[in-house]
Amino acid sequence: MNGKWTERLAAVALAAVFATPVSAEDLPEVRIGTDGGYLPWTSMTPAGELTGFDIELAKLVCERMQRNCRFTAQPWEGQIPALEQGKYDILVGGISITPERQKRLAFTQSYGNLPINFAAAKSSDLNGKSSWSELKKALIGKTIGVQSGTQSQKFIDNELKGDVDVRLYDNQDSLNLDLLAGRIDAALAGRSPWIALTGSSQGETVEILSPNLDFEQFDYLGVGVGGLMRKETEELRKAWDVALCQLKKDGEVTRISQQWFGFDISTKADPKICGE
Amino acid sequence: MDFETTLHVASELAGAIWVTLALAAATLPLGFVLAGIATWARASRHGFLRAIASAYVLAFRSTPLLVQIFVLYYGLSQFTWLRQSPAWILLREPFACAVIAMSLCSGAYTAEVMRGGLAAVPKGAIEAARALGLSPLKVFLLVTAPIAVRRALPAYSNEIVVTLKATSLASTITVMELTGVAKDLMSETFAVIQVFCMVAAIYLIINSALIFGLRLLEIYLAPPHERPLRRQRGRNRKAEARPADA
Repeated sequence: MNGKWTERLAAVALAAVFATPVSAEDLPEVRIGTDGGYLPWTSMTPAGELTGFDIELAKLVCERMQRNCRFTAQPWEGQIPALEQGKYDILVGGISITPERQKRLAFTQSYGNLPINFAAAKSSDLNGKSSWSELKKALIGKTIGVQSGTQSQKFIDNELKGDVDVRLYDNQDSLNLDLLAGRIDAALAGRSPWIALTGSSQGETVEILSPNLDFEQFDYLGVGVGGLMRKETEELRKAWDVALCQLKKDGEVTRISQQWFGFDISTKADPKICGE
Repeated sequence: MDFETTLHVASELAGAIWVTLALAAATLPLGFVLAGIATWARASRHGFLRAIASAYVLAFRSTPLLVQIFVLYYGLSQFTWLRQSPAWILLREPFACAVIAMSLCSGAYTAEVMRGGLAAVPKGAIEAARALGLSPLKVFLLVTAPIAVRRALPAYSNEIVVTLKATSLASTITVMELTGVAKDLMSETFAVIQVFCMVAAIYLIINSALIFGLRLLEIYLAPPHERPLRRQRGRNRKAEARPADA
């Protein structure tokens, strides 16, 4: 009886040891930095828990890598210096892959890409254009608002400079207010803030204009969003990329994208990293 | 920053100088008129007028200019009836909103400057002018105003410099003046220190010129016995030199 009890205890202990992935015990936890205030990519519940598309995806990646992960919320402005100082191992949260950032830091493969869209009042004559050239013609001479320092501003500089009156805003909220007030004829931003605006009660007079503008037509818009890391943490980047390959193939990225954006923002598995 | 970028930045900033100067040039006269009205109302016999003027000065001196600009620009545009009223023609434009908000603020401060200047006029001088039989208007134009202007000018020149610097807030409501263009150039070139040092230098040059000009005006307006000592010292030196020559 006594012997059996100790055997049982030993079995339970052994099971416990083997149930915990060995690698998670060996390797230090992955420290993930994120903004926590950029819906639907990363946000904070009223209870103070991080949630969002990027958070759920990162949790799945950690599961696949069999590593423990710890999330920390910090405003975007301070995140890159904190990453460079080694406070974090990776940053996530709708971070666009840009050549400027790639000079100093490394990105995982892209896992999502949102088109940018113009938005305008439902009553405007800009609606229902089927191609960019058609919309461009209609936009000439109009006043257009855009947030400064974004891909959208780059787009206007490249495609419409001199043809339209450009107003620069510090943030998306100010841009929304002036679009609703009618001070600007149209505004350009990523598709997700427009979904949030048109879905809200004040935003019902506004609609998203077709067509979607994305990197397939305008390559300088970039290949989408990725996790941002230091160049020397090569091993973690490889592990993260392998996990992303699996998640993309299993349709998991599409699934959480549907859940947070209402449509599929996932990008195809990078053949150079995932193989064919 | 290479030579080409420097040139690009410099030419963009040079274009924005005019916007900054236009903002200040539109704001200061409007603020002066508002201050004049407020000062007149605060000295009025009617308690109602005095209360309104005092409330205006108190409200605009006690709240940040940035908040005033936001309330006027983003706040008022929330009201549909206002957007349908003729006032919207003016309030629709960011430049007009910036000028109105800054004028209201500058007017409140300038009203205080005027109050200080008027308080510095000796009662005796006014009584003497009245005793000579001058009309109230003549008393104001010939006695009160000249003394008050001289006393208030140093404080008002300060207000002019502050207003010029305050124009940098207009970029928050999409008016692309110096600071706004600098912010845009910063995100374009990533040359934060270079761009902002150039901007600071431009503000410094404009304000130095203003301060120097106002100082000259002060000296010009001062009665001879109050002018700075430099000239007198020169005269004394001449006076000392003469006996040695002789």
